[in-house]
Amino acid sequence: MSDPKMARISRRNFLKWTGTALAASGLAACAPAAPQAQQGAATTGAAATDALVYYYGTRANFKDVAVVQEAVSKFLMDKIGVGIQLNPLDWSTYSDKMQLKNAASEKYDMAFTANWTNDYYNNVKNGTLLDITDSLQKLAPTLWKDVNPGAWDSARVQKKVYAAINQQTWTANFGPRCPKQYADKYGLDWDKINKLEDMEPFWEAVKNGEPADVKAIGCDDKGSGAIWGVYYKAGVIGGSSFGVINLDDKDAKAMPDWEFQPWVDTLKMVKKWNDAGYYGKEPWPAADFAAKERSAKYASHFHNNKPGVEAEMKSITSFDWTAKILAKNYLENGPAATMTGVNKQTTNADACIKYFEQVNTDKDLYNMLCYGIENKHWVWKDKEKGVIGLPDGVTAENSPYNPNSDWMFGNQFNAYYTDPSKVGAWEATRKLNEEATPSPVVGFVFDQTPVKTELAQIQAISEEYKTLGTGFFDLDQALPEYTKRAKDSGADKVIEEINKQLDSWRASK
Amino acid sequence: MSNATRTPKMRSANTYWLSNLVGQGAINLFLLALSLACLLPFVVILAASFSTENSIVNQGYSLLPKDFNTLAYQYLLVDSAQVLQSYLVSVTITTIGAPLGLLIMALVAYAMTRKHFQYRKAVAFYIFFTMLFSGGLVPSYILITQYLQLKDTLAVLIVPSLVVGGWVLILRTYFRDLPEELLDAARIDGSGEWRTFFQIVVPLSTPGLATVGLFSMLMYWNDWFTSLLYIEKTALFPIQYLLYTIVNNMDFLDLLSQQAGVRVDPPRIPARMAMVVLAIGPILLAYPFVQRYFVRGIRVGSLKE
Repeated sequence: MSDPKMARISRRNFLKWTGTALAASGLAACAPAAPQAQQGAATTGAAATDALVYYYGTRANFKDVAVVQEAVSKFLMDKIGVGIQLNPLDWSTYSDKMQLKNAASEKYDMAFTANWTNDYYNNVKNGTLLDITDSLQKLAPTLWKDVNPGAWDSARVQKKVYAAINQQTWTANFGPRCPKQYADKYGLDWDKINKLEDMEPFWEAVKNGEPADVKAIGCDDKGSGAIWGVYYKAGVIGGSSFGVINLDDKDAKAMPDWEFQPWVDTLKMVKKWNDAGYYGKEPWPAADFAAKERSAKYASHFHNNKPGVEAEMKSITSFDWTAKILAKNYLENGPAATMTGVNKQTTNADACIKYFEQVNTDKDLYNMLCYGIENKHWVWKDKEKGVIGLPDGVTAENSPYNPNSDWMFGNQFNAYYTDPSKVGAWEATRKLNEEATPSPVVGFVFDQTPVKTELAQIQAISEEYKTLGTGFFDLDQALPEYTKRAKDSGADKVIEEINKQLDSWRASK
Repeated sequence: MSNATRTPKMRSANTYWLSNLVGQGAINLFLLALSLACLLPFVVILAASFSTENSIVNQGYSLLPKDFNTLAYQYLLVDSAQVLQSYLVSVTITTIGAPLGLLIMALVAYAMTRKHFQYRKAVAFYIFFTMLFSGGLVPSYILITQYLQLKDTLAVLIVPSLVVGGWVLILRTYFRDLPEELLDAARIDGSGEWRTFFQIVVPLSTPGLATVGLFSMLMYWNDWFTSLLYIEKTALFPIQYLLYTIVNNMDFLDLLSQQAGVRVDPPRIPARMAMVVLAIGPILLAYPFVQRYFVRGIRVGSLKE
């Protein structure tokens, strides 16, 4: 009996609800949309003349971006007559968003571009970036001279530069790093360590002296823990997982890694270490690696030991570290990892270049972008040495402005130090950069289009053999197997194509 | 349930009672196992979100939190104003988008079933066509950002997903099953098209409407991709997108550790789990609400015959 009544009520209610919802949604959806759309159009229009629209990645969206934007704009207005519009995008979505903007020819002035996100070479190929070779030399002379010519070469495509380089650490600085507790306990003396084999007694002692869950050499199932190419002088080429060149050979040709004897020898050496138990029973899952590291579950790990790395590792793990660089440093594609490009759609190209000059030479401006406003987002700890810290009550987590990525904006060597133990690290890094031997193929960009399918297949095969470099395979069986499968997928064709392009690149130099 | 088919002669009351118990018991056990299989993953997630990362990595997952702490939630909720704002955005687009979309889709689907509507085939083809072909990402992006100027608006989160072709066809199937005589009778009694639709068609199609309504609600609630494309203002981040960026940035920080100076070290795995807990919370309420309509719809259908 009550059912029809209920149904009637809800029918009436349903009508009423629908009506209300319709009216509400009409108001809500249309009302804010219209003014915002106009506003959007207005800012885009005005931005072309008043403010440089600048896109870059960020680790979180900070409340005080607007505050910093205002301060930076004021600064720039005085110097070069334009303001700036800061558009930080999350790292996780940065590349996707920029690719869409570029594909849609959206108007903006400058953006962060690199060989690992918002791909520089693709952007050049698709005509997204403006050729700034001449204007850089004319309007940003200090920046042009400050970056060494070898580095500019690595940003060149067909002899032209399409982005300004943000200086930071460019070299691999490969070597072992150890939690100090193990180094001290087992008497590791860096003076006696000149090559990785010299570590063997230390590893043996760790293996015998520590519980089974502490590895002598840390490694994961994604290939971390393997010895890097620079150590045995193999340079990457063509962005493939298997093509290598001999870094010390000026006329080096690309070859597959299985033909590169030093790599095969390295695999044998690593296999020996693995058989001795230095890598533990099995590699850790990659996702667990950071947690294992924080609980000191390894006695050594191969990585980039750039200057200041001990302090950095301590800040992550809260125990002491010690490290040594054991490989010769080469200048490969490091400079292409952090650059800022000018969009072809800009109407204000000259102002962008002038901005590059300012941000790379003026410490105040640069650090404003990196750390925010003095006494609001940071305070001096030691003005003489250039060390800053967070104001009282502000932590790295709750700070309203703390992008923590100084290499994003410009020359990192102009950044203030955030840790007293890092003082001097910039000078040391700059020295490493300048002393590095340029790879024989600096500036060569491989056009993957003709062998895209083959590369993708071989890439997938290489993934399966990731732990070859840490000795978790029967080498005598796995290496020929890997070679055969890669060859069947067209490895020879890829190498041939790389060498063909390499030859014509050399001829054009 | 099967009482009627069994005669008392064939089995004594005692064995019947026993077999009934065994049967009931087996069914109950099976359903219990099924519910546990659905429920346990949530318990594990909940427990993991309150554990420390070290305990998860070193000892694995468990049903009870190990080293109970709320670090993961503190990490995700560090900017609680933003989280609240994002919940508000999500609730707004879901409560506006789902009913509005349902209304539009129902009206379109109903029109397509009316035989005296001349262009119903054309409309059906138009709807069907969108299921097979789309404009592609870049053209849609250009349309929405440059022609419609919808970038960074609430409307962009609602309007593009109002009508989904497949769901219109589901609704059409429901409406088509309504007896034509019923609608004719309504017309003879003087009911106009609107009244017929809202007072006769809609109440008789609640299961279909509830299904599509639930789909639509879930779609709006779970959608982060639209925001990824069109939303840059943090004030307009829906909760799913906000959590997506927080968790993904965490992974990204690891990749960046080479360059970045001082690393902020987040509780990765627990934060991921806490994200799941925060994201599913409110939408769970939608299920019991919609379930009412499923049940009643079935009853209405059976009475009709």
